[in-house]
Amino acid sequence: MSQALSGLSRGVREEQDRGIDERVRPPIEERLAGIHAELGRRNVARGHAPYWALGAAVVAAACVLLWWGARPAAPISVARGGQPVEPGAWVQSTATAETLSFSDGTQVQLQPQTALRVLSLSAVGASLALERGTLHATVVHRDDTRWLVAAGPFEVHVTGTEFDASYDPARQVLDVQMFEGSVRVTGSCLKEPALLSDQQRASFRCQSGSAAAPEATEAKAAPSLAAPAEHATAANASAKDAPAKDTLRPAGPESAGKASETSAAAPSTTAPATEDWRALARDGHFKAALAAAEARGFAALCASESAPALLELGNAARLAGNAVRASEAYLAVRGRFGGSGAATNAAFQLGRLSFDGAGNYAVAERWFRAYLTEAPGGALAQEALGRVMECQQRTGQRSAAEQTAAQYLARFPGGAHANLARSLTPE
Amino acid sequence: MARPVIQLRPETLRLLAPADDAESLVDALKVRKAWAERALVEDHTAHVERLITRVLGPSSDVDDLVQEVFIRALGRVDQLRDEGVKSWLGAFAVNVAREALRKKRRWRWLWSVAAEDAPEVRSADATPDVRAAMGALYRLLDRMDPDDRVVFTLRAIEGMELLEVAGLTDLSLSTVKRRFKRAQEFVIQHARRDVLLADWVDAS
Repeated sequence: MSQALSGLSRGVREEQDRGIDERVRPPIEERLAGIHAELGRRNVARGHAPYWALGAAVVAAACVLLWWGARPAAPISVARGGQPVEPGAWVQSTATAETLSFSDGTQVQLQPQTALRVLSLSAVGASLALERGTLHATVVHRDDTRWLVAAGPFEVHVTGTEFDASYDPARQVLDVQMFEGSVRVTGSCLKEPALLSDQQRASFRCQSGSAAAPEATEAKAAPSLAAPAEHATAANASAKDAPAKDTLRPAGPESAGKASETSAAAPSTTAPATEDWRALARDGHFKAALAAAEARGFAALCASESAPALLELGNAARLAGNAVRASEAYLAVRGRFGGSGAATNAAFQLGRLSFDGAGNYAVAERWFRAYLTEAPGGALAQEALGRVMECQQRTGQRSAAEQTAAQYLARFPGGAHANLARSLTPE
Repeated sequence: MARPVIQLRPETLRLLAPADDAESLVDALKVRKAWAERALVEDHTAHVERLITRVLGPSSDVDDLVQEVFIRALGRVDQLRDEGVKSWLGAFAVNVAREALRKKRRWRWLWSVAAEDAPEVRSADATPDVRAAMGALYRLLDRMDPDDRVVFTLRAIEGMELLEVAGLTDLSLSTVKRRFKRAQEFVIQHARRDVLLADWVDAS
């Protein structure tokens, strides 16, 4: 390009970039709603007018037939002492055992001092979260049965079986005792799933050292449970940085101190590869960017990169569809740069990952709350508060959602979630 | 089939992948996953805005044009390949901007020159002002063939390589080179005679 224009071009570019950075954009929900409405309108307009009504009728009839044939079976129901238990409800036993009876014949008995949440019910099973204590499950087997018990960082996938599961949240230890059938145990710190059957018993713990393994297992699963250090690291970072249910604080000086140690120990030779993945990510080649980061050592990057780079790495992983790596990068920001704006941003991204990725609204709510606690007036506060409200609505926390809705309307009466907030606010 | 992923604790975020296998944004877009559409719009709005702004200059229609880009892109998501979401969207952005230019040009004869479009008279010793220069440059570009303008703005202002410009505009590299050369000569020639631009060109 001619030198004669380079100064002018640069001046214009910088001026435009400033304007773009400062732009107030329509809320994302509004934009998406507009896009979908217009796409729908254009699809309809593309049809031939004389045949439009007939075509629509045929399509509608076909849809009804398809729906009738393929409609999902009704989800099973669950009752405690004859009273129905809704998805999202907490069940807590005190001094005596409690039994949950499912309509497919499955029984889950809560031993004393056990807390469990019924997360979801489907036609082929249920998802339960064991917060603490011991449950005894007798799951009725069918070909497509899908039962799942989540306990801290572990998941017990059940087909048809009888087993005990105990979880100690303080030590993050899961014990599984099989009586009949088989289960598959997975966890963020387990390299491979562990298969338990017959009368096997195993304990699982995410260790604080460099490896993760089941403790004192008697199961066949033992040989496959050694985890790579980076998985253990990620799990530890998660445990350390996850916002506690009751206290949502930015990471303190302790984590900042650790960050600097890690940073100092990190090899300085990572720069060229780092440039590669960043360049690829900036060009929109997210999978390639992630592969480049993996080639260099994802964990090393998490331990050495700057906060903005880690946010970019997390975004690249998220857009490449790898939620595991995305969460590791965001959690590294939380761990190493606690209290910074980047850490706050990472909390929002973690919430978004939980919300958009798998609809894990309970986790998402906690991250969005962490963001709001750390940056009550932050640029994403409106979106975060709106999403907290959505999370509460979707997890059946009606009164909490109402309160958040009132708070939202007071702060952002014209916000993207205002309509939802009004629908949740009692007249 | 997506597995029933549930967790209560953020340390289990590894389980948050949308599907058993790592699912790319592209794959998810093709099956109309809401998270993917949201991610596409959220993460690429600034990029689309930037390309449109480069081509059109200051415009009050940017939001509408950005919206049009995403409508077209999501309507033709089946054409999206695994690599290059950014350049795929960029091609839509360039097309939308070029159409806006042609439309503006088609109806220009109906309107008189708006007051803000008239070049400002500036004293010779005034400091070059980038905003005024930007306005003057785009007024100059208004007189240029839209295709030349697209090539010029992407290369000179956005700083793209000619090959990239060729990719986004669906023109051959030689055509891009020819158009850029012509546009550059036009701008330099006229800028030297424009009181708002002359200092910038000479300074460079």
